[in-house]
Amino acid sequence: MSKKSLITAVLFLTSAWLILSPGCASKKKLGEAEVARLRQAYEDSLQRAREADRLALENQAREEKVEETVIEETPVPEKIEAPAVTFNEEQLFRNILFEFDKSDLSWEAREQLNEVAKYLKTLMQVKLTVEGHCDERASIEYNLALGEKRASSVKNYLTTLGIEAFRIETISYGEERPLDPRKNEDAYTKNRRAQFLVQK
Amino acid sequence: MRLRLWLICLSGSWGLLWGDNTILNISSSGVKKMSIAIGSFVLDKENSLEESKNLEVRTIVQNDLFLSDFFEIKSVDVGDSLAMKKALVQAYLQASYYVRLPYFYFFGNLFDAVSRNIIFSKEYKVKHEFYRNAVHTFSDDIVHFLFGERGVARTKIIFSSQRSRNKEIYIMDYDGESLKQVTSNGSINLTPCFSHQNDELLYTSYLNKRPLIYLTSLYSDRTQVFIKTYNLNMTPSWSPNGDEVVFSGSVNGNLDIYVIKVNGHDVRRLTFDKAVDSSPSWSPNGEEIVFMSMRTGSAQIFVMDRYGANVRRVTYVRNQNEAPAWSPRGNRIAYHTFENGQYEICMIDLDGGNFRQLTRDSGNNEDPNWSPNGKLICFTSTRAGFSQIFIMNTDGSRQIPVTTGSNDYSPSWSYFKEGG
Repeated sequence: MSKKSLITAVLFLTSAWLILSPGCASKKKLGEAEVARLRQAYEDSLQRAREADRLALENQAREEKVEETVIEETPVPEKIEAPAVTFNEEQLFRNILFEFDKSDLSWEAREQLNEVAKYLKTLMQVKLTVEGHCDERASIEYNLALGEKRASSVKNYLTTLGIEAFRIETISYGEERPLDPRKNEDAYTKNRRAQFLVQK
Repeated sequence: MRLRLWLICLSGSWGLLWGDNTILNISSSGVKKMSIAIGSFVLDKENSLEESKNLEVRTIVQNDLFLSDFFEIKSVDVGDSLAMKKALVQAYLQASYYVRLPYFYFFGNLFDAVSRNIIFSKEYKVKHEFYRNAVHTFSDDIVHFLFGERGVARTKIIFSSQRSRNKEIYIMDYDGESLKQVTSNGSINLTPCFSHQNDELLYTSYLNKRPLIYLTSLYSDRTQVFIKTYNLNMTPSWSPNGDEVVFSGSVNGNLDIYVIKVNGHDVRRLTFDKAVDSSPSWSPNGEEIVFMSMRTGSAQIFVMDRYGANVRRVTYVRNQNEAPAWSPRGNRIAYHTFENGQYEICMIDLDGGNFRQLTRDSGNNEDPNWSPNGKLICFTSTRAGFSQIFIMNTDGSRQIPVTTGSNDYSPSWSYFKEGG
């Protein structure tokens, strides 16, 4: 190779190296202000995370506390006071009766529940518990399921009439809480019922 | 040639259908009972306390062997060789015992009737108040020595009872003795079941107003909520391998079957139809679940695997087949059905064959539950005018009440204690 072309090659390579290599000069050392800013940002995010944790724990404690309070609720008073409006509550909330082994609502039951819905729409703060009960025939387990279906029947009818679901609680007692403990058809008929508890 | 091949395939597929779940299927009519006589049980008066006279040690053993369904007990004087020979007695027992506080000592011996040699002998020493347990252990040891099987003399039954006005959970020895109250919350307590280790129980209780499933320890005061997710939580059953619980829970009035891990996590739903699915019970290997469903319009018994797949129908006759319980010995299901105005305990093979009615013309008979060795069934019966717990052999013979005096329901038989 000629001297000239050698020098050209060296010059070319040197300039290529100078152009292409990342400049060491661009790697400046981080200034102290920069470090301080980054550290502050880190501390802030740590602080935020701790705060979020604390809030979450507080919320959980609050929820648990609320749950406990709900369980120790005072019992519903037995006597239902009549409000100033023209609802006869004793009539309105009389027990709904069911046929043997059935959970569907009779026409009378539906008419009664139509009135119940009107009541609930007028008095918006009122909540209901619907209890499902059975006569003592059939097994304990079968009757628990049937009582649940009966209570649900009533609730579902009311919700289709526009009553909010959260205002109605259902609970099955199966054959465990008969109204009439005797073993005859009369008692059985009374026991196959949905019973209301009104919470104002 | 073609026909032969076809027959081979057919027989092969039948084999697959029946599976390999059948353990040794010894029915009470199958095993030949051993004739045994019970000799004297001597109270070593020199060593013993005056009070020990009242320990009915001999009666306990006699009852255990009688109920075990392995023996025919002959009332023969064991000293009278001629009478023994005539009665074809094969073995006899003798024992002695005494109480030196705080312990009860028991020495049990089993003799071969022909040679009159001792073939089994063991000493037992327990704290005095647990003397029954020592005697039951001897009965179980005799059964195991002679038949290679585990006896149930030390097992227990829990149940729901109205003896204190409201329904609380009680526990008793399988023979009705040592009755103890477990819950006393003044509420309604139903459908109990034992844990796999027999140290805890699950049951439905209204103690916090709604029907939730609770877990109570039998050896400490600890009670905690186990399942509260659904509006109605009921009929729990603990898996034989101890890691899961199957139960029924309701959403919008419809009951379905769920499985949850014993630590309370990972619920999985097994049934999805719009009808009631309830009363689940595990197979002995924990791989399958038998349950009641109304999906066909009436209460029938079905089987599915533990993920809810492979659903098969078991019962087809009658309209109210409920409370299924799977035999620990193989593919037989005990359940109750409504027949001629009353509930009767029945038995059926998993494939629907070998149907047998075990109770007849004796009130309402419900809620069968197997002993852990599959030789006995406990159930409730109202033949005496109130609900009592009975035990019987698996062919329906020898139905004996083990509770009285109150209304008792939903019996659940304990598992075998591991290592005991």
